Amino acid sequence: MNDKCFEIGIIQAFLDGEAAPELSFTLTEHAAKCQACALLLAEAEEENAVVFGALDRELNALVPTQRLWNSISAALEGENSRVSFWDKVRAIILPVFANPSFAAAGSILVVVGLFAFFWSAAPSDTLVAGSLPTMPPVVSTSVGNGSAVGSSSAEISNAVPGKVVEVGETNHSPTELNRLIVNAKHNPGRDRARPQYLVEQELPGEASYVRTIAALKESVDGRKDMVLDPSARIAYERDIAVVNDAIKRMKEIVRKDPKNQAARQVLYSSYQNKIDLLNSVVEREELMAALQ
Amino acid sequence: MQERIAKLGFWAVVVCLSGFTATSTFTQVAAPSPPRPRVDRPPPPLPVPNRDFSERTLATDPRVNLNLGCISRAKVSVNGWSRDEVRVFVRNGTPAVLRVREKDPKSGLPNWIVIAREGSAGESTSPTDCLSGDRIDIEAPIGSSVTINGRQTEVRIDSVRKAVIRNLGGKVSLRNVKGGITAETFEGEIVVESSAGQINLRTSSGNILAYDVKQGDIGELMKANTSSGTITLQNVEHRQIEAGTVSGSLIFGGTFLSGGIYNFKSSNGAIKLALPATTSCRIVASYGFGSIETEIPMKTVLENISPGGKSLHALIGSGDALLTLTTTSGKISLTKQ
Repeated sequence: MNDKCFEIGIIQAFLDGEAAPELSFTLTEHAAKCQACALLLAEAEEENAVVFGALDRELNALVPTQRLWNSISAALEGENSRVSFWDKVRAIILPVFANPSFAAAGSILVVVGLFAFFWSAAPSDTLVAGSLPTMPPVVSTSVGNGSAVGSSSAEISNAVPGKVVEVGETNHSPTELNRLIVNAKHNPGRDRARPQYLVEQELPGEASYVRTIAALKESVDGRKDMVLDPSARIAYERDIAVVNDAIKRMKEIVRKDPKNQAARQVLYSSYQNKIDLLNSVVEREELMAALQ
Repeated sequence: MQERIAKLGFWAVVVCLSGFTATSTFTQVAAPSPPRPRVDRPPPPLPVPNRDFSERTLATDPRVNLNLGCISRAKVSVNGWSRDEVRVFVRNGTPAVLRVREKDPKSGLPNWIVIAREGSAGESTSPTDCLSGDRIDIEAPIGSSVTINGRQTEVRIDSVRKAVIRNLGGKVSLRNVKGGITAETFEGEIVVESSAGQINLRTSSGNILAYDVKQGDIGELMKANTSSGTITLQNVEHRQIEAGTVSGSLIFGGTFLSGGIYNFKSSNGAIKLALPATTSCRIVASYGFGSIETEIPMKTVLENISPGGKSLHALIGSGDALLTLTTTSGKISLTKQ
């Protein structure tokens, strides 16, 4: 620490939350009065913001910094202070049922409600028959084997109108049925681990090729109709298709075997071909502009 | 059942009516139209005075730089001669003018000339300022350097020191240019013969043919690129050659110089090399989905045959030059000359 101002190390410790509370208090008090220290603090804060912004992902992923611990602590405190829904319900209902008249009225209400529910949920044959006039007649047969579930559902989906469809009845437990339904809805290919070569991984230097191509393509696509006459356009599109196909094929090979130097060289060569092709359109446009 | 029969009947009627309507329409279209009244062609334009040809001459420095900034449409022919004088002849086109941009401080003779349309500002700023004509013939000193920018021009250049051509469309032929060539045409072929120096040839949809070409100074490069044409290099004696085509073939016939670097690429086309038996080079070939075959005995150093990523490192002779061959799905062949 100098005579008047704080050293940058202390300011940095303060910004990182590593300074002692007394020191932090002194520093803020001093910065409020001292223009130079306030400037130093602001600059350090800006630098911190830039650095943390750039390294945010890495820091958050790898280093449990003070900020991370602070946010975890804050989240834990919030969790503890939160009152659960059932506690709130209990707090409302218990005083009500303390009064005997309210308890009796509530009981009657519950009994009436249950009766109404079961009465309305009872099946109505007339309604079902009226709403499904084209459904084939269903014959219920008792099947002891559990494997009938899948086949029965398939039969229903492929049922021809006018044909009698048999529906199997199983004796599965509810848990077993639930498991079968979940498995039936599950898409087997969805959660399967993708092969390594399909996971998009850029090769060294590939990104710059891709960026250059994207920039050139954006520039060319909008103007190629004006720049190229029909025959040149056909030739251009054909060559681009050839190069795109080469890139696609070589990419697959390189993804499967990233150590294959020959495939990588051919891939890079194809990228370069595409850049040359796109460049030729740009240069043509430049020449046209120069001659007009 | 009856309902089905009724539906079928309805659709049958609809189909019949549609067919009838289409037939009657076709018959109407195919009916011969009445003969059109004869329209007489407009009379040919009256001849413009001095429009048949124009000619300009100017005494210049022997190493003069000629610049034709804009030619809209013409057959251009530039021939070197042993006089220190430039002559421009335009047939059935816009008259040309020679504008001096710079003079040699010692001799006082012009060493930088712009050839432009008469009446223009000398810079190619608008289409009307461009030269045009049936033919533009230019005679220039053998030591001159020529620069041409054109739209649809067929250019022939013979016996000058250096040539730079940029052309939107049209064939370019160059011969006896010893100080280097840059030729770029987007639709047309390029032919270079008996020339030397740094050579850069590029076309989008045409062939490239270069023969009896060699480097001038050490390290001068020969480059040839086309998208959908064939590149043929015959007796090209550069120590460094780069040639590439996308969907055309690449044919090389000649000698690899000791210490040379030769890089040939194609995407779909074949790469055919005809080499003398005394060739000495190291081969690095990457041929993706393609193939390689050779008549020339070579010592395989390393070979990798994996689908899509095939490569071969081999030696012919003592391996003095480096030959890099790259193709995605073309066929590489090395034959004896």
